Amino acid sequence: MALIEIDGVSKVYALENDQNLTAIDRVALSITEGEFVSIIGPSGCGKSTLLHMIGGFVPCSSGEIRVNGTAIREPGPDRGIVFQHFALFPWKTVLGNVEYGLAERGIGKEQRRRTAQSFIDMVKLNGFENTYPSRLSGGMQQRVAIARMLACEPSILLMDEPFGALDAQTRNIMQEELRELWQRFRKTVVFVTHDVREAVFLSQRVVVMSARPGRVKTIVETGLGPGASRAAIDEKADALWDLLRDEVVRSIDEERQGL
Amino acid sequence: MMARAQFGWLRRGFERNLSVVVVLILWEITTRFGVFNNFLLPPLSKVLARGWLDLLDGEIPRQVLATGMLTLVGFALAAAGGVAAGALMSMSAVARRIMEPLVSVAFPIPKISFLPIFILWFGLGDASKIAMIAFTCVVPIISATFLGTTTVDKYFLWSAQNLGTKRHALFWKVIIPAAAPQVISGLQVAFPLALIIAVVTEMLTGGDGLGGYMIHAVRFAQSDKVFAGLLATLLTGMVFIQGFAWLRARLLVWHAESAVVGAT
Amino acid sequence: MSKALRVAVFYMPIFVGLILWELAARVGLLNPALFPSLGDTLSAFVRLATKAHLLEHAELSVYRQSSGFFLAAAFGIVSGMLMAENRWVRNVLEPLLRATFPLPKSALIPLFILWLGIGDSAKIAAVFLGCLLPIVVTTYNAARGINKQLVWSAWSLGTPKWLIPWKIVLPAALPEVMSGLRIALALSFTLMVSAEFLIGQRGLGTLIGTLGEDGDYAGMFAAVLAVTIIGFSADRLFLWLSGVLLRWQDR
Repeated sequence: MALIEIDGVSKVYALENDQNLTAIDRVALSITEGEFVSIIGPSGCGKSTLLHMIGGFVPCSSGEIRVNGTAIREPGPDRGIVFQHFALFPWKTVLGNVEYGLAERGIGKEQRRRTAQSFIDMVKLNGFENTYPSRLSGGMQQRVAIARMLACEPSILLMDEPFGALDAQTRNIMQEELRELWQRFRKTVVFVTHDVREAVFLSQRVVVMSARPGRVKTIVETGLGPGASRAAIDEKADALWDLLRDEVVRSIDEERQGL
Repeated sequence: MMARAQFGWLRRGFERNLSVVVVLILWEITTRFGVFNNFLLPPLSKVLARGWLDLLDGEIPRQVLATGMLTLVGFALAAAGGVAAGALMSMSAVARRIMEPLVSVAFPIPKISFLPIFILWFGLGDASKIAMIAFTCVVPIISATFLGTTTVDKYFLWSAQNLGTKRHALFWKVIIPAAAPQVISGLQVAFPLALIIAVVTEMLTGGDGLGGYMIHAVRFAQSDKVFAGLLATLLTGMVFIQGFAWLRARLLVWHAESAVVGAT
Repeated sequence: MSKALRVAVFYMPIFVGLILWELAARVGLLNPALFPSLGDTLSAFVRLATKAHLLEHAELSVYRQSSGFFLAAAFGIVSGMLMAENRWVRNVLEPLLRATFPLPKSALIPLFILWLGIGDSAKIAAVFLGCLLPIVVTTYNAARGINKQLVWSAWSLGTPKWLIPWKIVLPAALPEVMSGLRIALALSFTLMVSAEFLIGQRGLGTLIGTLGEDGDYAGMFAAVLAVTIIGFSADRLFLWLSGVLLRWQDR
């Protein structure tokens, strides 16, 4: 039974000069419970937009997205989200941020603190509970964002290029830790990235989107277990890159024509 | 296609200013029906008529000219002095040491309170008004110039040096162009300020200019003149601001323009 | 070096300037009729404080200035936020703001005399209207400029949509709003003094004018000094308050 049903979804923007911009064109996708799915594609292909629509932040122009059979209208704690630039509340401490969703649910102070603390420990930030985000590095801020999302125990994790703003070294560590976390909890994850290798490393299925207007070009099973060798990962990643390359070149050409 | 583009522009301009048009219409209608005391709020048509009359017999143009002159002279003095002082501060540690606390104190104090002192020193004529305008406007200009010249991206300087510019030439070749947007922003903020101070000092010393015009109107209980004066001041302000924005665009044609604070 | 000492060192050129002022007067460089010495100014200050109700004038002026300022802050912040959140409010207010932006608000003082007479309300109205516009514009720009993903994060974590402007947008916009308020604060003093100059009826601005007319120039300087000190202190107090409210910022 598919947890997330993306059913013929399109997104069209109306521009100032009375023209239309089709960001996403009739995308259909089913995601089963417990799957880790990545969405890759060239810049402007609408992969983030698709994620935002699953999240309920952006309405579909046509088509429908269903979670557990019900159509999505609004954001909610069942679909947690993490953004590329962390979006932590700068006026709250780490603890304040992680507790936030729990407080919105009306959970009592003691319980909140304990739950939040356990997630802070899980992302290895114990000791930083009372620090403000402005004092943390990018990697640490993203851990806070992840802890904040997980504290609400969402059934679906939406991740919008979460490691895009981090340096390569931090990114590698975060990828490994994310995979570990996923193997522990086996939540459904929809992961948007432009890094092909990252997608192969983390997911079971990779959705390749075309250049704008974004359509599903192919879906590839990575078929790799947790102990996969670096060579196996690289080989798969190279194969995927070949699929992706044409789309990237196409989108660059389009940009050049637009200028 | 061309025609539609033209009318689209007009239509959008109308839509954008709809509430202003509505307010003006309401003004005329409510005053005509006597909803408001016609003395306290004369009908728009009466105000426009009075404005038109005074425009034709030269009174309003004369006052606009008087106020405009004060504004421009005072502003020019502030600009020249302010930019020089700000640049000096960035180049000389001594200058900076002396001026920084002065600017820091000068910013938040109500400088208009010095007007009676200036009148004592320079009399009731134009000199004290110009002094007041210059005194008030010089502070933000110094600050903006200092900030602009001291925060030039060091990579600009290093690139220039790498490409052969000698140290002493860096100021004119790199720092001034790089600081220009910020300096001009400071000037752009100070310019409307100059107009405000000009009008206020005119009101306080009576006499000429738009400020004097409005104060006399109050004293002689001519409310339509008060409003006509306000409208004239508003229009003068608009022209000045637009003129400066145009000048800025010409001077900074290379700059990825960011909007001026407040002038949405 | 302790903080107090550092501040004193920073302002030293001003102290030096004051000393030079007194020296210049003593040496005869300054015409005492036009430029009283620092000593004369200070003794006039004491005289005004003890015999001429300087404190009452100051209280009245501050009352007028603060009433106008706080009213403008309250209305301005709420309006700016509403403009940022609601399309209709924005469409109605934005053209009006743009149209009235070039008008020097002090130019409205004669109008207020006409409408409100020569009491406190005219002065408070002048301060209120003069400060309102910059506060609305700054708040609007600040609220518009926050990271939209902060809103989305809160929304997905369960915060109801109607609560988001006050729980998320306002704190996120606060640094910029406080900067705008600081500028409006300085403006409020200027407007208060201008209104008092023009309208009279006690207060420090009126006092300055009266002392000047009476030829008590040392007194006039002293009153100007009083206004300067009050304006400066208010600004520093505000800065301190900002520091407290915004201690989460990266310094």
